[in-house]
Amino acid sequence: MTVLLEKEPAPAEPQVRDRPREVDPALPATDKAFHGVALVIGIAVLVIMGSIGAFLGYQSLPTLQRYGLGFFRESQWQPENDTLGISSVLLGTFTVAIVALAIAFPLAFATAVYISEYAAPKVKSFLVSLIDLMAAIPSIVWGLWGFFLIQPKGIHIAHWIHTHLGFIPFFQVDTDPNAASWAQSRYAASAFIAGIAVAMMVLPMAAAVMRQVFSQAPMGEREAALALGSTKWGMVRTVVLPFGRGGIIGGTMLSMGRALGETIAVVLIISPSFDIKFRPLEVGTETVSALIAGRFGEATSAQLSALLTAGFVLFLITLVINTLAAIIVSRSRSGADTD
Amino acid sequence: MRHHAGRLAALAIVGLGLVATSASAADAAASHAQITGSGSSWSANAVNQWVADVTSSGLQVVFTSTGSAQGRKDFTNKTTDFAVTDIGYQGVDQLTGDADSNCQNPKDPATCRAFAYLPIVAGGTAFPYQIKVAGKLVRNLRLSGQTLAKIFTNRITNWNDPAITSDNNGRKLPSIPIIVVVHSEGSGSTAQFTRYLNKQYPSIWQPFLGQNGSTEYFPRKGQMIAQNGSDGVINFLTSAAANGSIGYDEYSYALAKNFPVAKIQNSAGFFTLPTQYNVAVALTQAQINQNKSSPDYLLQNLDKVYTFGDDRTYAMSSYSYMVIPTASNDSRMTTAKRQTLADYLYYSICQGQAEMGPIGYSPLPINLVQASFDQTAKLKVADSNVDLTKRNVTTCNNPTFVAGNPKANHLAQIAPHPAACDKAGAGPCDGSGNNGTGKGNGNGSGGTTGGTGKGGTGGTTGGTTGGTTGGTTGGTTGGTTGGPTGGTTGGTTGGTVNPDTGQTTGDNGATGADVTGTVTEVAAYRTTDLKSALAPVVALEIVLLLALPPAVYFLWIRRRKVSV
Amino acid sequence: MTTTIDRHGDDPADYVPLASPDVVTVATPTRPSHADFADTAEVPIVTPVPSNGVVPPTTAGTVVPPRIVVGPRSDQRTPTATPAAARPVSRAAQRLDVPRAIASRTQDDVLSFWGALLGSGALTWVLYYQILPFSGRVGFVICWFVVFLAMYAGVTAMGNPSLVVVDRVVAAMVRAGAYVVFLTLATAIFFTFVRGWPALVHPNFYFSDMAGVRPTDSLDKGGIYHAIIGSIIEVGIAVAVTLPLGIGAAVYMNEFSGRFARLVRTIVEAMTALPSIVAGLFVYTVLIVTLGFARTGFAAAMAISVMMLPIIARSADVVLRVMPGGLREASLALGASKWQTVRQVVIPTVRPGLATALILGIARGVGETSPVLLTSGASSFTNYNPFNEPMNSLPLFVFSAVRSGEPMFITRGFGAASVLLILVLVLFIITRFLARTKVGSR
Repeated sequence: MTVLLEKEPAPAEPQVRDRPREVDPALPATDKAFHGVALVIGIAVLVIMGSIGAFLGYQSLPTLQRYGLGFFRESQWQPENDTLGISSVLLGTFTVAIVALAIAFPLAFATAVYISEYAAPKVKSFLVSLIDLMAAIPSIVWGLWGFFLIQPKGIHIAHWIHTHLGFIPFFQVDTDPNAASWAQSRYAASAFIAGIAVAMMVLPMAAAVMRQVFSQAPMGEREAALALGSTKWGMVRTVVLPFGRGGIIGGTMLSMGRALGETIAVVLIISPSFDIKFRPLEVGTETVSALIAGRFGEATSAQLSALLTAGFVLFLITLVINTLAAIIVSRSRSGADTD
Repeated sequence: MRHHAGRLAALAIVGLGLVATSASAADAAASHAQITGSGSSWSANAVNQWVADVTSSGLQVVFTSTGSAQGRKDFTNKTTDFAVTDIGYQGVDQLTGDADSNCQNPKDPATCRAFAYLPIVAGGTAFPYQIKVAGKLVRNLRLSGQTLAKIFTNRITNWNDPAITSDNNGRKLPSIPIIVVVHSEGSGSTAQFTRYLNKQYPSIWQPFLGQNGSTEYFPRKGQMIAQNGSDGVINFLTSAAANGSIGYDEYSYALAKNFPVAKIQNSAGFFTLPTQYNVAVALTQAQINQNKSSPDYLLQNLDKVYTFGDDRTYAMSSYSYMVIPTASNDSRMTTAKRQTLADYLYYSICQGQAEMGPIGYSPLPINLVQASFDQTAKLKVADSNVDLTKRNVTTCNNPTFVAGNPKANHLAQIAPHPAACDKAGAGPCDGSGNNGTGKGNGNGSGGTTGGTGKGGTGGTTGGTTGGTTGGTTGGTTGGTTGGPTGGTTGGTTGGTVNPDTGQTTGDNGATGADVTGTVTEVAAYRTTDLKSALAPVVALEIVLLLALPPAVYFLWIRRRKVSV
Repeated sequence: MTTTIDRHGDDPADYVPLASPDVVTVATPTRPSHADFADTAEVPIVTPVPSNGVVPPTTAGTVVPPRIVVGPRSDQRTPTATPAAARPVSRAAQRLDVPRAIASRTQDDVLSFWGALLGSGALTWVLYYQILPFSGRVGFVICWFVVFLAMYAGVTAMGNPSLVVVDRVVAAMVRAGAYVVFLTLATAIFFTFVRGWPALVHPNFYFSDMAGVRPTDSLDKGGIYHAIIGSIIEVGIAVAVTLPLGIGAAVYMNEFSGRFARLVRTIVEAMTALPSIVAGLFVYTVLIVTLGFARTGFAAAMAISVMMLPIIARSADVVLRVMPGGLREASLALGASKWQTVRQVVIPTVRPGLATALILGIARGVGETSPVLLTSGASSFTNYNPFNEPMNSLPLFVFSAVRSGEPMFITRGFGAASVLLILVLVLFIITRFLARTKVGSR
């Protein structure tokens, strides 16, 4: 651009008033300073962020050297016996996240479709900001909600599921559901209850991403579908959903990344246990973040290193999921530009 | 090596643009400064009580109950000014070989933080439980140590187990699975309890743990449920879903919620509660390390407490300790902080002891108060500006003191003997009437609780049960006066007694007056009867009845249209 | 099916209501062929009807009231319009010429919905509470919904093709799902305020701290002033740290694109995956354990900063990236320097978006408990100095109060959670207000 400007000055030179300003092809001093400051900030952010990642990775070394792959195979976390492992904790983390997604996904999907396709136009923007507001609600509030409001009811739902669907291993609980006074405590403080609370936290994120992608579905194709006599759902199914598939998957994965790292609601609800089990309805589970929150204080330097390793593993998992999600979402958006 | 990397990264963070702790020295001139501590949730109620008390005199103390293990760790890391712990530092960390106090076998003497223990309060580890029969809490469960050991090692898994039935002199509890609730954090109460099990019932405990010893981390196995902190345990136990559960906690937690705790059998064969009296009696047998040069000076050895033959003993009694920094070059401490700590401690171990009984602890005996005074004096050794004048043990309003006899414990002397119905093979004690009259020394404030709280129903149930199955002393009282007016009678007589301290404690409130009857499963509640078997059939019929006519009509219409 | 096929022609159209107005306003000027989606465009389509002369609903002929489009269904209208004998012929002709009713709900829509709702409610009540051995309101509502769907589908199937059945059932499910979400949101907020109300009515709750308050003390003693102050100070420091860094990094990534900028962007995006508890653990390990700092408000602010920085940098980056390139180029073309462009064109243009991103980041930082749980002690005293002594904050206060299990403290915890919600709500409303500000109206 500067090149184009350079050509013009010559003819206007004689007139004092009209003489255009001289254009210096080199960056002006302010720009140099600007560039310098921006670069410094960029480097600072890079160093801070990078050092956190590097620090976590570096702190993991002693633990990994000492326990090797056994760190990922061992299920118990008993520092006093020199037994440290995160297999049960990772399993618990995924159990909570999967339960959360199983609840959050259909609701987020329905909400996104509703807002983008069914809601009255007048309330649409209001509903969109309602979802944003939901995302901004502190996790501790959802924790209180889950612990005080949902848990007493969730126990009965879990019992009902166990009673009627208990033949599926996933829904089993280690107790007799038909006992005269069924053991309520076997259904409390479970991954299921924690998953409900986490679901409400990650739901708005998934819903927002999905809605955004749905709203970008090409108008022409929508109208074409309707003009061909399609019902509204027919139009959504054949136009909006195929277009928004990337957003659905990406949004779900993004919320999964958040669900994996959710701490406070899980800490409030679950009862810690280090069993290898895939029974979300049953009492007791442990997630990486809850483990850190529960054990950081009494950890010796070696245990702190082990906790940091657990945190690092969680970070890496989240990173992979988020990256995949970002790629999927951006691919689906790139389709919108061609329309 | 790791520390270097940590520093680098930390500098990057600190360098985010803000000046660091330049202000910390500014407050040194003030006579008092805020002090911070963390640690045992076992003694947290006592510590917080004192914290609230001293606020009015300008002392600012922040205490966070995080568990003994974290309290000691925070202290070693110099993030706190004092720690509260139920057991001493454990020595070498098995994992790294690091000493957990930095001062035993120090790798780097410069990081060692010198400290001293001082006992601050006594108490009993209680076993709160929730067993509901016909919607009411059972309140007079009795357990022997052996049964307790078997319950907490998953050998007894149902409340109708014969061992529990025999502990309760033949009264059978309903068939409810036992839910054992343990601490998930490193907890002093776990250490005290597992030490008791290890000493008293090694054949039961050691196979469960897999080794000989006690632990701060209860090895959760099978259907046990772990909860974080004493508050987490008591919250779970008292929640609606926890029917059939039993856990361990300091007595004060159950007392604050008026929640039943099990009476535990002592060596004399009596079932006792962790009242301040019973704890005081038991701890007369605690062996205190009197070697002033030992790092474990004043720490306790409770072996003789477990086996003490006095009928008033509560076996699981122990002291809780505060850890204070004693080095003169301690980087965290200032004169103002030391002064605050000293004043806070002075209040705690002196006046503060008087209010321990009502909230579920037991005051320190005079010899330990004196020893704590001596330990506090180390703060002045570290910093001569600390003012410790006008401190005198004898001016403390401590209910354990006997004038002129520093070795005696007044509480232990006046401690009431348990009622005869609390003996193994007798009782179990029932009803409010029993409570009020059975104890010669009063302390029948259980009646208060029973009378006001559960008046009508408690009274009548207690009365009839007492009349028929009968406690030995209280049975008649319970049966006759305890009937319709039982609750109030118990309340009035009980509430006025206890002349020694004038306290209307809820000591025996847990056993006050409530339902204890043996209720077994009611068959009608089972879902296998004819009604529920036929219900789906009826439902199906109704649905068909509703759905068939329109379906037939439409089939008919359609056929007609096709034919047209 | 063969006989009912004649309904296929017009019925699906009943279930294609008006596309949303913003769709229409976009579509109308450019694509006249879609004008039939708009109310205003009804007349031109309707006017041809009388010219055919077959249907005489209006004698005047020229102007048909637009209402006819949204009028009753053809089969209900026919008996009045034509003799019974001529019915088949006239119906066919009518269908050709009468425009499809597309815009509004028909009686069939409304009646089948409410009928199915009431019928299923009654049936479920009888079965659920009276006959089958079930209990519990949650189960009842779920069963009701399932039975409703079945009935709604059945009723619809009586007079409509399967496409319409699917459409209606899916619509019902989508609506129900969305309502559940909004209801849940309302429940969470309502529940928090109801449980916290006993504390919220006491003025001392806002103006005093918890110094000297015993667990059993009533609610007219003690408050959360210290936690509010602590939250404000901690988040204030965190914003002071992350705002220049985050926005600066975003500007750098967008203005000086290159390999290094791409590296920064990659790292920043990667760090958004950092779970907040790990951020807290990092600061705890480095500041408190390794460097020996005490648990202070500053440490907590650092933990919040570590958590917030990637979030703010990333969202600022996204906002800057969507800024139209033309504006920037125009400014440069006019001879402005890069700095002038950024200061006078880029930043003002994206300011509402930037503010939104920032405030949402702050809302996240205010409400996050896990970083402060590890780094700031839970003090009960008011502390204005972030560098010395522990400092409480709202989320931490809520957490510890609720954990204590004391009824009074739980109520205080809910009260503090309500205050936290109000804080987030206020931030949120500010965001909405800023976002609504027009780009050029500076």
